[in-house]
Amino acid sequence: MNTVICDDAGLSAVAGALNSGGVAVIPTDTVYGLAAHPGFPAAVDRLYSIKSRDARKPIALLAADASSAAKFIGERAALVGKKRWPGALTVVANGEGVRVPDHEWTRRLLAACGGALRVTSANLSGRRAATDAAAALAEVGLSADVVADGGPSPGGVASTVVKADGIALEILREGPVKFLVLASGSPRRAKILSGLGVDFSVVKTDAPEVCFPEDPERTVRENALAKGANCGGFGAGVLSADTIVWARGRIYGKPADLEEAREFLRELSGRTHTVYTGVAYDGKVEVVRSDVKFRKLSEETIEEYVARVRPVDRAGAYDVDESGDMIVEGWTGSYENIMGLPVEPLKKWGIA
Amino acid sequence: MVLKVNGVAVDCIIGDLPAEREREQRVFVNLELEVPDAAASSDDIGDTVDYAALAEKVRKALSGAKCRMVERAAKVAYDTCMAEPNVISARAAVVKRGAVEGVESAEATYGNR
Repeated sequence: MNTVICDDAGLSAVAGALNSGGVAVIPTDTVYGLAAHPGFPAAVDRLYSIKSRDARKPIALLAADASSAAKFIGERAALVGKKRWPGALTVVANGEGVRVPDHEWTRRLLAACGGALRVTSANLSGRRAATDAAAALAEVGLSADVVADGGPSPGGVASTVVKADGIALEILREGPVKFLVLASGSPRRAKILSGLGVDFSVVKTDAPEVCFPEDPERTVRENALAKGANCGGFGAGVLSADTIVWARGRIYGKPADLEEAREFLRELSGRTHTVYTGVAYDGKVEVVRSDVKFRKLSEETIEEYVARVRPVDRAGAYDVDESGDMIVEGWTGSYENIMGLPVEPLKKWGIA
Repeated sequence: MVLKVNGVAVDCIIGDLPAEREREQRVFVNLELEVPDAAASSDDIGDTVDYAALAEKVRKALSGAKCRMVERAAKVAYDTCMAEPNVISARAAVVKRGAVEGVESAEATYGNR
């Protein structure tokens, strides 16, 4: 076992050891880590044995930059990290977890080792993390090939861990890096946010909905605010929305079943209606309107549309973005508003 | 957008008194229609309501209905408005003047604008 200082010569020595299948203790922006090159399975196996770590627990990667991270988690997931790295965010995708540390020497080392290393904390499993080289040496260093002394590490907070395999992020561990929370189970709203390049997680809300039969604007405004409050309240980065269809002097929400969906479509057939969406974010709320003109719908068209879309979870019993051409003749205003999430308020609030 | 059509004059049978069932009286209908915003930019009557044609439809509907109650007349006018495909919501008021001595007018409003 060899100890080096975190300078250029030390970097060469540590990179040399890792690139030939060795194991090294290295500093990071949080605690000291025990590292191995991912291209040397035997070296990675040594990490497990040195730490007495459960073999079923995967060891995450530290990467020099987002493009190095992308080789493991894919371009799309790496983009989530790219906006926030270096720092306390681990992005998980394709079964791998990657972080770019906020530690310049370590990033240079990672680059010198091909872009990424498998790194686990330099302590025995279940014990306290090491925040300096001496502690790391005492814990696991004697079993390593080289120990890099970069002085005290700041220690501190565990990273935020997010799974980035789908349209929405899944927060696996809360941490210092925060993401927008979409308080809605609507795949259409998720699609709009994703299309805008916004990274977000989803929380489904069970806030009771109110209806003011003669006041569509108040209805969506109050429901949007209530949903946001139900999912963490003001200041928690929660985006919520409520959409209704206003036609024939009444509010059309989500139909109770397919039969009611057919009734809604019959009543909207050949008419113009207004879609109202209330959008709330951290106590702010906006209401956006769009007018939609329906084609005259035959019973056959209604039946085919209902069978194809099964629109029971859509306000007004339709989805402009799914076979919308079958029923919609035209619209004015925001298309995204008709889908359930207008873009303008998001731009105004700096979300998109 | 709100389109108001005021003072549509309609001569029709309206009222519950025997004399009122035998002669037409003039009532005035005020309509308040929520219509799409589109016509404000397109300048196209196809995007809104042809209120001249609607006024005529209201006249025909009230003439045919021969309502006894002014309330019923307001509902008939409202239904006529709601049959227009570009009317999103509406309110209809029927004003009947001079039916009763000492009362200037009676007015009924139906709808939720």
